[in-house]
Amino acid sequence: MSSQDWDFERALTAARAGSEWAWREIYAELAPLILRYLRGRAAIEPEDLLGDVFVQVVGKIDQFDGGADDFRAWVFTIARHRLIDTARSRARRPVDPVSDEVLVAAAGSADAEEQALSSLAVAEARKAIAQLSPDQQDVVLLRLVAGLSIKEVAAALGKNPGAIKALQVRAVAALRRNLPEGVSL
Amino acid sequence: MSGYGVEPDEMKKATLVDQKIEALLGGQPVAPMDAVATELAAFRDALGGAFPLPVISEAIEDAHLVRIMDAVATSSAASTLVLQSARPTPVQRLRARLSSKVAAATFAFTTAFGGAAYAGVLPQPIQDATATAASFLGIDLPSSSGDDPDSERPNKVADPTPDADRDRVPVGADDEANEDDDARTDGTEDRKDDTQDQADDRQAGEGDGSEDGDGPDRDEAGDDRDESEDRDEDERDANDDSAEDARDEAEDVNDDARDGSEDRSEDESNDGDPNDDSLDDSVGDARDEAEDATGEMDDLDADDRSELEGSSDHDQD
Repeated sequence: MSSQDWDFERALTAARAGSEWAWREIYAELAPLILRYLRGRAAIEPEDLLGDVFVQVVGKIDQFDGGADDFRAWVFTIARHRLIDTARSRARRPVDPVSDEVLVAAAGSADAEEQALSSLAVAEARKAIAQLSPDQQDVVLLRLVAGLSIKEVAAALGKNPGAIKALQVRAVAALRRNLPEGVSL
Repeated sequence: MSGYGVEPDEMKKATLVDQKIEALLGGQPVAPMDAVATELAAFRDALGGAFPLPVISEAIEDAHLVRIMDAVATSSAASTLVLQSARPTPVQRLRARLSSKVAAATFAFTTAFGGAAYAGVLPQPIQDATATAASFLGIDLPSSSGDDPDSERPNKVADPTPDADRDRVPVGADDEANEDDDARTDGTEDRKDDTQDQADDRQAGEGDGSEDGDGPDRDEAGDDRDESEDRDEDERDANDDSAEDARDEAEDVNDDARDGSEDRSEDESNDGDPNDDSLDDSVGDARDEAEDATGEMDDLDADDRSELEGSSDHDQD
């Protein structure tokens, strides 16, 4: 058992007892990765969704049993389920989303050229991701954006590692096919 | 190329590509970097640049932590409630323990005592008391006298006579009351006759003294009295007739109720189910009808009495 695992165990025990410092530690460890994954899945209002994810983690913390890797996969499972639920509720009440270009322009940047290049890269990357199947999106984003291992991704998605590897290969092949000509990533 | 159209090293190539992809996605160096690996590495870097690790602002973090701690407080309060409700109080534990002990003792006592009572080996007073108590529950136990417990069991449905007698009692009481009423009416009539005799005597005395003056008036008064007597007799006859009719109806209803209850009790006793509630209901309904008819008759008699008393007062006046 590594020191990191021991810290996690201590934090998990304290979090179950309702300690605030433990929840701060867990939040600082996992919140950026979860928010990155939610943004990669083009979630609407990802910050609000992140708060909902942690509230649900608090409610179900007593049901969890495992180590640090299992906990990370478990939290991403909750995040994915919350994302799907939100997408379903949004589908019942459709809204007009604001485009990425508008959001980037609204954020403001000193260098207009850099902003344009960044927005183009974001748009191309999101377009390439959006052309994948939902499972392939999950695999690519959890592996590349959230940094989970094959085993953790398998646990988060409820599949076996072999299926995750197969999804990964197919996702890369689809990305290669779907990339527009003349655009190099 | 093999006979199946598959290159001999295709599986090896696939495994190699898979390993490269795994290494690239895991952020490990891949050698040699072929075109696919290069393209995939570029995509990985671009994706990392497109979705940089976000820095969560303090405001958002504080808001999230407030929500988290609220959820913690709610969850701990709910778990405390669950624990408190799941843990029995000392009174509940004592009650459960006592209930189980009482149930066990009752079962043991019933089993042992019931067996002895069924065998009839209990002492005489206890056996009799047990047989009597069990007979109320429909259980036949031998008594010490050796009599048939069925004969001792008070079976109100199989033997409707008490009920019929009880039904008959108000009617008989009404008959007695009617007889009293008749006696009272007779007394009134006697008093009326006495008053009439006294009036006749007075008229006769007055007639002896003054034949000339009030002769026609006395005749008119005598005619009036005769007419009032005739009206009283007619009203009495009519009231007596209506009272007798109501009494007959009540007796008919009582007879019908008795007949019906007897028939039904015979049927039930033949069926072997003496404790049927429907029979009690039928007898109760018939009894209610009879009591209603008797009540009507009483009301009618009361009206008769009031009318008769009114007429007698009028006559006395």
